[in-house]
Amino acid sequence: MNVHPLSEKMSFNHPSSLRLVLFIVFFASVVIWTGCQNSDSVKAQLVSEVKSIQPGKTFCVALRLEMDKQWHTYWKNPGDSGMPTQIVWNLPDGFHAGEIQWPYPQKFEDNELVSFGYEGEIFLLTEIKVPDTVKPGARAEIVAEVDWLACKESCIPGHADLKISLPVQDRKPESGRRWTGRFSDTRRKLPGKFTDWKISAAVKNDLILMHILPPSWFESELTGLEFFPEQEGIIDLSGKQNLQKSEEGYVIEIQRSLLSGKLPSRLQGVLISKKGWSQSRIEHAMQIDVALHRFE
Amino acid sequence: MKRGIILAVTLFLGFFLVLSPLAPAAEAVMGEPAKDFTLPDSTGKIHSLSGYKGKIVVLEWLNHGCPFVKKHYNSGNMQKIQKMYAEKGIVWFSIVSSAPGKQGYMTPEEAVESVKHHKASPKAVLLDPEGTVGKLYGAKTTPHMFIIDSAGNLVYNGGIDDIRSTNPDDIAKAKNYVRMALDELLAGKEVSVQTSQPYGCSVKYK
Repeated sequence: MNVHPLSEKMSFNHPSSLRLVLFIVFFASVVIWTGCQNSDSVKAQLVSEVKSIQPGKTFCVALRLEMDKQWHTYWKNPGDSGMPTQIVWNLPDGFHAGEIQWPYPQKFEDNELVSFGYEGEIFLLTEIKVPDTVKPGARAEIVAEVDWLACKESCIPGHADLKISLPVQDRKPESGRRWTGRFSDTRRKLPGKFTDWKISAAVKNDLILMHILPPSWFESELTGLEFFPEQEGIIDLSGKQNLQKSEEGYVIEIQRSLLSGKLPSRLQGVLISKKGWSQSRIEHAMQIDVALHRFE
Repeated sequence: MKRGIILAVTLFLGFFLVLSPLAPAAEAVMGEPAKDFTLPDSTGKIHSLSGYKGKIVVLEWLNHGCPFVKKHYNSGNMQKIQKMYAEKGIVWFSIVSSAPGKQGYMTPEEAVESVKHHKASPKAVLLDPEGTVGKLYGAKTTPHMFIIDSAGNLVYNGGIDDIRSTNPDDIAKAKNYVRMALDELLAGKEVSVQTSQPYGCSVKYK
């Protein structure tokens, strides 16, 4: 179905009944174009960052989840309970979708159970690669089958089949104006690599010690740090993480999970800092992927 | 004088040892005696874990409102496993630690009815509305599975299987840790996978 933006069709000389028809067509096409679906307590929508796509380039789409008050959905590591949001892509030949890029989550605590997820509105980003071979003038149908778990007190699984259709053009695409701000806000919430900070991790008995060496520009006191693991069953999520000064900088003492069997060779997760990791103080999440050393 | 000082120091240290905050009750360590407990079932009968020494015991944390539990009950999976292993002499307890007013809570009558409705075959549904036994074991999710061998030691603590989802189609594809462990125990072997990440809804404690 070929869809033209309303602006191209609207003109002051059209009679009002035609304008009404056009409005209905536009509304219907917006729904198809942005792919909305509602389920109890969560509204799911697929949005593209750009209005067209270019052969050989990548573009970004977001799964927008809007949750009713007090309902939350889950991060890639949901924590003690829950289930991460999953996307299965159905793309035209040669297109390839990357992994979900997760903004850093919030921590939810209920009794001693800890989970990680999102409240309110969240954009889960995915980069999609367009093959060289696709022809300008064609349209690409991007289809996503989405499953999530939304919980408040009780939990309701949700499912949505979402679709968006984008024209292929041989020029740099324009950004869709409506969600541009959200895409950049979300990117700021993706865990970053702050290479001026030196992080290392080691296991010592029932603790994992995360050593932090601040950069020379960092002059204040490091407080308000928390590590959210990506791997399940390594850390006791309800245990207190103890941040202390050390010879070279700081160390966080993290309780291991009693269920942790064989330890992995690397520790992966997100380190949250209330004060932020860079001089701008607005980036709160650092991607951690370090070797997990043993004291033996 | 010296004896007085030694006595004073001993009392002083003893005083601190007694009053020092007790370490939080750790969940039972794998391979060590499972913690004993006593709970009423849906018919009012009282069960103690220690009364079942000599039997293999399975503890299944239950909440029929939870989509992960529904996955295993609506598909008949949980009931099938309960029946299969009951026939082999395994004692299976479903335990409800939901607090009154919270999802999954059942009165004794409702619990009796739910066993009939689901055609389940646990030995009993144990009612733990205070959450004491749930917290004693560190039950985090529904379902969360624990297996105790005939010597009374905890030999499995974790999820029912290895696919965290609410989709019943995943049951056939998943590795069922409970069946694996029970088969190994019945064959006189050690449980090869003793822990796994439990998945489900959080237990609705008080």
